[in-house]
Amino acid sequence: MRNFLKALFVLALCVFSFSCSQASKQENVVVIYVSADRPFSEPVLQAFEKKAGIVVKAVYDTEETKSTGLANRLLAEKDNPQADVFWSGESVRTLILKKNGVLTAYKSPSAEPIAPTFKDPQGYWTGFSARCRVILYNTNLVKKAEAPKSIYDLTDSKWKGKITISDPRFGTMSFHATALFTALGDDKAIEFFRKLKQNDVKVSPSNSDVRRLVENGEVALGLTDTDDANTAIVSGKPVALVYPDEQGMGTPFMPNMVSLIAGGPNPENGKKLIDFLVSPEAEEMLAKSEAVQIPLHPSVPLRANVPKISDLKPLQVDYATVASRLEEVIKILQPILNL
Amino acid sequence: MHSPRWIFVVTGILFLGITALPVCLMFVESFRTADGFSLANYASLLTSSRQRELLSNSLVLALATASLATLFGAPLGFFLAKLSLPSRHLWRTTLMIPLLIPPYILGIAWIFAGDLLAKGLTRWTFSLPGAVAILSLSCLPIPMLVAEAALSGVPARLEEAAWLAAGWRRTLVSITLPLVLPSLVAGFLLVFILALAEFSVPSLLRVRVFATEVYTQFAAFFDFGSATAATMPLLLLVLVLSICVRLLVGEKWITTRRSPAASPLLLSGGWTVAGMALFSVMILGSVLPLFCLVMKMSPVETLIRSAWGTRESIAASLMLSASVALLSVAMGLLLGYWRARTQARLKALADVLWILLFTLPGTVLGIGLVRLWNRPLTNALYGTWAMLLLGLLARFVPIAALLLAAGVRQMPASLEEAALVHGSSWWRAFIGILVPSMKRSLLAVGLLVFILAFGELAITILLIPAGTSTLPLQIFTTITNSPDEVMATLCLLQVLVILITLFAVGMSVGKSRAQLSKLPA
Amino acid sequence: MDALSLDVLPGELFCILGPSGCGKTTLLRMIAGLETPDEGSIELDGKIVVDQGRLRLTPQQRGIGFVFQDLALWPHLTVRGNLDFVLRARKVSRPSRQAQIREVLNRVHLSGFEGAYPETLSGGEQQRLAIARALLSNPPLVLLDEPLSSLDYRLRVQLQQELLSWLRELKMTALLITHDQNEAFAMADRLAIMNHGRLVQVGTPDEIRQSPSDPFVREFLIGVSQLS
Repeated sequence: MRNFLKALFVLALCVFSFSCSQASKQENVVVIYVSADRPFSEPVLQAFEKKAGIVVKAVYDTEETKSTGLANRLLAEKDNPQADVFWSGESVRTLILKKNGVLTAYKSPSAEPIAPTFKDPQGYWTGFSARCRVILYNTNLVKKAEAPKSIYDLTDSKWKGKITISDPRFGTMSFHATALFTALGDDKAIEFFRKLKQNDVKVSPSNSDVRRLVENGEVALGLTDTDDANTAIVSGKPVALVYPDEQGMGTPFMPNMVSLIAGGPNPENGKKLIDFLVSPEAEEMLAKSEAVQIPLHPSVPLRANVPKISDLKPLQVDYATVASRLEEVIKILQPILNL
Repeated sequence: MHSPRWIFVVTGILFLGITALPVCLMFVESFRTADGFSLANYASLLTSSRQRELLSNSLVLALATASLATLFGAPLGFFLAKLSLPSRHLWRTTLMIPLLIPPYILGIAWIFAGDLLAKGLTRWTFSLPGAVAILSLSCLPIPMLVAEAALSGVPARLEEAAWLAAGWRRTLVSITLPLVLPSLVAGFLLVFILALAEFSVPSLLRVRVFATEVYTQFAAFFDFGSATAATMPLLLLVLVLSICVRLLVGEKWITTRRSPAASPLLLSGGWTVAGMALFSVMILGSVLPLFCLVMKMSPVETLIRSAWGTRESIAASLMLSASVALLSVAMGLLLGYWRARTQARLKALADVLWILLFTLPGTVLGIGLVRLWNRPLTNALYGTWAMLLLGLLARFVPIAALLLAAGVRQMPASLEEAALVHGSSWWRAFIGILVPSMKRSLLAVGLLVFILAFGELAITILLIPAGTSTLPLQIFTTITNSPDEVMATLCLLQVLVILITLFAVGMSVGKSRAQLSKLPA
Repeated sequence: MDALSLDVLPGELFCILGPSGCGKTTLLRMIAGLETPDEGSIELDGKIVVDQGRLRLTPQQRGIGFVFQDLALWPHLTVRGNLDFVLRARKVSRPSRQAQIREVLNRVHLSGFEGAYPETLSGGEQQRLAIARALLSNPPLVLLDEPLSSLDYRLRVQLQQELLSWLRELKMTALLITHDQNEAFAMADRLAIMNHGRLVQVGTPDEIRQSPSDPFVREFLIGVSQLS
């Protein structure tokens, strides 16, 4: 027993001295914190590594974390930044970090063709490969003819108790909710959510739970993201999706956002990584992946089921405004939805 | 005490530097807003009516979980200690399975089970009773292990006499129970704290408790000050309970001066049947979620492929957890020894500190550590595995110290004194007499820390060096948008990795014990 | 404990007799160095080991042998291991260790038990092991805390004789505490009666028997059998 322990201890010590030495010796590195799903983001980063010959050191997280996310880590590390780039799957965190002075401006030349609404005017963030908020419905419970066309359809009493949204305090739903408040005005937005509550809406912890509920037929309609919806479609579940409010206010777009961290250890490499991420090449990868993210470069060739950005009508929002109102909106919604 | 004082001073300073310092930093900040010193964060706590609901939910959840877990876990430990089983450690490891599955996965698995068994079950799961049931199952092994350890330390002669005279019922109640009660209470407290600090299950099942509130403050509002303030009710709750426990049970440990190796009274016959039946029920209950996971799974081939794909994370997790376990036991033993043997008046304060530190959500501790250590001066340390190791030590040394203090208290001081008087230095007595006599406790605490450290997420995500990952972290960042089958596979993978490690350790320990008894006469 | 003063002569077996709780164990522990008196001094072999409440010599430096009431046999070590541990702590060389172990086991009639674990020994055998451990390397003083109290009558009498003979053969100074008056009067060269932390009377067994100084002492004498 003693020998086993001694051996283990020595082994552990070796590993640690080894890794401590490793840490300081890397030459050509870039450090990126990724708050977007790993199965989609990792291949893109690996492609960059191969192409540019720069070692990418990534820390992953998801936006629907069940622990504190990387945005908090960046905030905590502000006085002595350890990361170069921040890739976020949704806009709110990036903008909060901008407000707290964690980011620095960089306007990438690759992002020229991207529409100005998807870029920060001062250059603190650049949007790429967007997801949309969509309505996912169960094809066994909802016939094609009855398929919803607008989010207001969720307040229809014929779907009472059969609708779900994810918790508006977190993730993309928080963005969606706040976007509604800024686009429709507080009163109309509050009314919408009240009607949802009256319609016995189920509040799921995350977008994947929304997907699960719709897949299993426990609900008929759910609000979720394109990547969740696509996961279900690709695995052959009886579901279909709708881009809501095409004729009306528009579909909420949630671009990925990438930013340069102020005072990071490898700023030049960071800029190169950003150039790659907002390029058509990276967007194509993300479009082709299971995430089916919509490229913001008009030139990117597409798969069949991915709409072109010119075909869709995005909901007009100022991402900065949405981010600044988020906390307030969450507080308003908490009592309404009984969170 | 006849020990060199300096070792305890050094350990104490190290411990406080790792744990108390970052935590103090966070609390100092919670008293500040943009305009300087203010109680605003705390004031908002008191005025909100939500707090009452949070309080009642948290209290009910924690108390009910601790009670149920002890109620069902203690009898399991009883049978584990008292039946003559050929391969005890195999049974023990199997019964520990619920502890190895991260609680929210257990929750999801039972939701699947609800799908398979009865539709109504799923609806019931999303409620406070549902959360209680799942957490109790998850924590069941803890009172079981505690009870087993305590009962196997009760020498046969203490019970034999009563058994013959008064029958088994009286014996259990009047003799056995009082002897193991302090340990059972410690186990109860431990489960209470774990249930109170547990975030993922209540969040999944949409039950509002203090832990979910703290998380919301961090993840939704990014407000460090109010997040830290939000932990205060949690800490106060635990403080109150600990004081109650202390007043009730005090320091009444086993007072018989016996040789610690005395063997316990074993049972047979009808008892064996009852014990086996109970084991089977529990194993079924713990294996059922695994079974549900497997049902949703792609063939075994996927499992092997995922294992290969995550091999770096697996290796990292194993190395990290093993190191954390070893160092926590070492540090915890020194701190626990001091606590058990010292005459100093502040020793009760140490218990309180350890309990509170363990209750504190890992997030607060983690952010405190980042703020404290992320400076140009400490760049050689920060950003390496060593920092993550420190963070996990900060998280787990308190509980190791608490449990090992209890373990040391059960060792008669005369064993060490005999060594000292007969010429041994204090160190020699410590390493040569105390540590070998406490093998069982040390192993148990080491394994507990290993399991907890393996599944840890909050601190890991804040301190892990870029470019690396642990298994739970990798699973986490992969499962959110993956099909359920993938999630089931990866979760099963994590459980298997831990199980295999435990079996391996158990076997090597068993082997060395067999070797010992074969020494030539 | 109250103020008291005591001299033990070299080579003698001194008993302290008294009821439970009178402080005799505390006195023994102070001599061993496990506890420190608030005031006063203790001298061993001419060396001051405790003075004015401060330890001058640590327990391990005093070279004393001690038989604990609960025997304190180390359960994870064999009989040989229990003895070896002490000798190694005292930095005895290897060949010498083996010789000493063999010799002491012979003396206490435990030869052949070297590989056994204490838990497998009988009560009497465990007792002898504890005594053997205390006798190792000829300490200048042996302290015994109720060494025979857990044994039955016959074993106790037998072991009393044996213990006496061992101590005489090795010409050791011993301080034995007990609450059993028969044992004290049978074994001691001199003895002291202790009560409430005070020494009530000190003297040879005959002296005390003939002129008890105190009604308390007289009470003790009542139980003493005349056959000593």
